[in-house]
Amino acid sequence: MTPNPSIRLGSVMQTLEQVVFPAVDPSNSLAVEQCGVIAAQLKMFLHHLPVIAIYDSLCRDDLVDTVSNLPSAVGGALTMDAASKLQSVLDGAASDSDAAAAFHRLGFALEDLLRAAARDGAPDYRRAMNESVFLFTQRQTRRERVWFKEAGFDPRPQELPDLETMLAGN
Amino acid sequence: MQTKKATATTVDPEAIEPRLLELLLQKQQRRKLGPYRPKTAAEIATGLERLFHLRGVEARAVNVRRMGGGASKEQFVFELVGAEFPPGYCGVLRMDPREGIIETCRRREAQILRAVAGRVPVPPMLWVDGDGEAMGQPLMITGFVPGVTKPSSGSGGPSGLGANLGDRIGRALTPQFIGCMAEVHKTDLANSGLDDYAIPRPGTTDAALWQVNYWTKVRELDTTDCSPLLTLAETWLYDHLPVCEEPVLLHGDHRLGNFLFDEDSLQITAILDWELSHVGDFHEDLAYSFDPLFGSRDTDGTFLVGSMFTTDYLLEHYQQISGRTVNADTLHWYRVLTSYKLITMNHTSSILAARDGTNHQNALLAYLASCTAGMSDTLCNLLEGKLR
Repeated sequence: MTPNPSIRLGSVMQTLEQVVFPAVDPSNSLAVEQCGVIAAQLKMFLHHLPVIAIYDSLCRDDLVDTVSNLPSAVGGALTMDAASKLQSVLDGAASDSDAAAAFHRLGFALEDLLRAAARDGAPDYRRAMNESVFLFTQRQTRRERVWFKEAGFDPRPQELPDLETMLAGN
Repeated sequence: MQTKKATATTVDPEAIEPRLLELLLQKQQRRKLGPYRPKTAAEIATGLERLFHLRGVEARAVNVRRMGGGASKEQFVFELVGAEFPPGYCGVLRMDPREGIIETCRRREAQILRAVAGRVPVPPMLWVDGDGEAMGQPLMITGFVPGVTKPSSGSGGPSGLGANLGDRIGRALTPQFIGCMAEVHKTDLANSGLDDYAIPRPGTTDAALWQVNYWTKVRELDTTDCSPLLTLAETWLYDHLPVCEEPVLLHGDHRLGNFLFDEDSLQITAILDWELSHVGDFHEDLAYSFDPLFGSRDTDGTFLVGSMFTTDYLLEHYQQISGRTVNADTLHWYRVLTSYKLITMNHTSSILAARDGTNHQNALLAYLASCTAGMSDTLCNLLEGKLR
């Protein structure tokens, strides 16, 4: 456990910035550009590293709640089959020790249901499900915007809380 | 808006431009070759010798060096020495990495450069090697065109994102930027040598359907992570396919960062990066300009396309010079499509290439993929209230 990953990564970053990057041939444009990207990515990763597990669980738990509260499936064979498969993925997702993997397994099964309902789901059921899933995607998008705010691509970063505030559930 | 309610029985998910589908499938095979190492300038010089020999070109390439930028393709500049080139004449090589954020065709790009030359400022097309005969990867070579993508005194992110032209430059470039877009749309599709392009049937949903199908196929082949948001968008797009009365040639990536201008004369010297060009609905090029990724906000918070002009100005000026009428619902559909495809590029192919090390800028691709979060916010805003 000692030294912890943040110290190990931090020391790598410092060495890269103080020793390695200045030694790069300035006429090598590809190398110079990559140095900038590497430094930015490592800085962001250093902030993420101690809280990755918390973030992954937050995302997974919201998806589990969303899927658990979807309306009962109504529709043709495709919809009913996809709903049944989603239910089987849901079972165990909340307790999976790999929250990120559980999130994506459940997400893919939900996507299959969205496509199936587009083909033979009852219109009212499909509308209600789409609305629930859309509200989840809004929450998930906001989490991801906070998570990657430091990358500098967000169109409105000023409206986002800092990472610690979001992880605290605010 | 004339729309076609798509159902399982009416949508053909395999209706994709044949050349584009071929490229996607070829990439799946190429992936088996494993990681990619960026080419060195010396390797490019040797490759150019081979290319010139294969093409019977009496010329030599000297002082080969890599160009900065180019998140999608490897680019090198060099001097061409030979009887048919004036002293100091430079060429630009644009070559596919093994995989990248998008999979596109150098033959198509060469065809479109020739098709619009003389009407739109573009680099002169010299040679194309669409099958990678000379260097193992498809490539094209154009003449070098001087100019900058952003003021040399300013700043900005990769690929021209986030650059600000300022009032004086923006005012001068605005009519040229919109005029070039409209001029491309005027291209005679039947007589311009666009042999590798397929043309959607006028008065049908082909143009829209082919686009949704293509980007959905990219997701199918390249997805690593789930995205319920993209699938909500996918089903909405299929539900509301707009009819395109008159397909036109589109640039497909017409934005700040993809043109050069002269800082003294304030003239656009070249429209670049035609790799996403295709034949489709003119609303698609307009909708692309609306994406927040390709603009900025002024001090009042008003969105400016490429830091130059408002979206209202774009629509008004485009309609005036093109004689076309913008349909608000169709424009909205294409804004959703734009968002869908931009997220798809970053959420799928980009991450896959970075994961497998098959690009010349793997670290950049992994970093750029984080812009998916902000782009997802755009897509949420576009879909809000539309799914009920």
